[in-house]
Amino acid sequence: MERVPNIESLEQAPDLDLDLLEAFADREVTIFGITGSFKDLAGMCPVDLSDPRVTLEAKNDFVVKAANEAGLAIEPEHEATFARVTEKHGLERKFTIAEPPAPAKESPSILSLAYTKVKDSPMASAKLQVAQAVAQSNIRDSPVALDQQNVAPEIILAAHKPAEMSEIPLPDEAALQDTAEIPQTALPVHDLLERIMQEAQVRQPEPESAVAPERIVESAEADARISFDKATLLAVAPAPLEARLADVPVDVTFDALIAPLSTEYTAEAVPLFAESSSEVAQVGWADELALEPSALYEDFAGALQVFSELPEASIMSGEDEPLEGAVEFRHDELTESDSAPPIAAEISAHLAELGDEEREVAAPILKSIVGAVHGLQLLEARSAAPEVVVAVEVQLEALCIALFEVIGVEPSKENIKRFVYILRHPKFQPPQPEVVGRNMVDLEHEGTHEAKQDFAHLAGTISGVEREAERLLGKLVVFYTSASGQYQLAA
Amino acid sequence: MGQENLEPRAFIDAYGVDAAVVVGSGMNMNLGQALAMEELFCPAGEADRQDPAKRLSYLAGMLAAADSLLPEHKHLLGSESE
Repeated sequence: MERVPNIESLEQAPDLDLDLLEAFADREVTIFGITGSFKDLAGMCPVDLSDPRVTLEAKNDFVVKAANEAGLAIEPEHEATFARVTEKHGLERKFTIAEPPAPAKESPSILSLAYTKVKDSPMASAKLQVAQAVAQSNIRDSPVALDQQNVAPEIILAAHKPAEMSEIPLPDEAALQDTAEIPQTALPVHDLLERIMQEAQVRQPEPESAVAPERIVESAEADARISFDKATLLAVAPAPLEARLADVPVDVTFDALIAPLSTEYTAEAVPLFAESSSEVAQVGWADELALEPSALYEDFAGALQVFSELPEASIMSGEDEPLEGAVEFRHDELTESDSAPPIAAEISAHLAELGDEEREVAAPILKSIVGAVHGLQLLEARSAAPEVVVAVEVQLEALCIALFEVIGVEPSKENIKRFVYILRHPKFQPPQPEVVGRNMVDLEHEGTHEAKQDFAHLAGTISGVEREAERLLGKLVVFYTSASGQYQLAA
Repeated sequence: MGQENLEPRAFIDAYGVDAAVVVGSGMNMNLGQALAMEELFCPAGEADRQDPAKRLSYLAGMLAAADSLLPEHKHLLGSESE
């Protein structure tokens, strides 16, 4: 509440001769979402301030109150005047004192931080500024991703500025660096894992060797902490969809959200794919990580489409395709899923229906998911310590949750578990040229009939069939088919 | 509603704080922002702010500049109390 100015006290002020409006005329300030110079703002006064009947004290009072409201950084020589006026009007002191050697800077209040001038619609710009300020505060206040209790070694990375902050024109970056803690977000997971692998010099798996977790940690300790949380996701999300990501509860700590899922991964699940990891790692998603997110998006959706065409029962049981009818579930947790839509088909359908804007949000998340999956394959191939694998699994689950939020799928524990299972399935591969056997048969010219006569393709390697029994069975089927074909031809 | 019966507060409430205005310096904003800015001024001419007719004229002028003034309030433009 403002007090009515006491004229007598005003007349006793020591620096009544100082015309602050003239001194601050061209200084730009943002108040109540309105940005303009003091000269412009003074034009808003219902009284013509150029009228000689308007006292100098009244004009100075306006400048001080406006500058104080905006949290302006003022020169030290004006501090006494500002302090007096703010005290006179019972105002909270918000102005700051600029450093004497540096030029006067605007103290970056929450409204003045990093934003453009008001152009046509002050309220629209003010709303945008508030929204951006909220996003900034979310980035600053969001919880750290990894809980140290769940992950023994801390995977640490160098940090970089979020992309969206670099696009915002900053009035004074030096001031921002001094007063605003620009959050450091993490590199995507695939970059993290690539650096780990490079530093650990990952080689082909050796029977008796194992990567010492201490070695991985030591090589990464020189870098910053990874913070794979909503901050990272917000950094890649365009402004229109920030609200959707912001709906993800920030008060839920990362470990509370992820830990229950992670702890359910048992040692039994990992070796299920371990024997095929080395082969998969070489022909899997490694090349996809070099693609643009939009290109990877298409390949990811295509790979998922393959799964969506298979009965989920066969996928979850570990079999590639049901050889004879349905295959029983081997995962007890999935017994209730007979009537639920297959998660692969559901996700595939949602990915296909996304609009361009949403795809721009989802694509980087998918790339990070692929990076995490690829990393897990590498870690398993290298027989890395379980703690390291769990750490990456935690991040993969977080990415899946973020993806579900973006595409509008319920991020339930069940759905996440199913989806991660598919992602880690050896058959979840990007579209690639058919791997032909060593004894390649020119089927285009010879035709399958001619090729079958020599059983040439029996000697070749059928890609993707990891189990020897299945390969043998397949060859027997081909042999039978070929033999019966020859018999029919002869007949 | 006659001018003598119209209170500035009621006038403001009738338009709402989101009504577009153009202030003396030519800046576009809404009525709420203009009123907030006005609180900063509090010039020595306190009576100007307390005179209802002058205040109404001031408010009407801002709204008219933004084509927000209703026809039934146009008589408020330029009116001053003696």
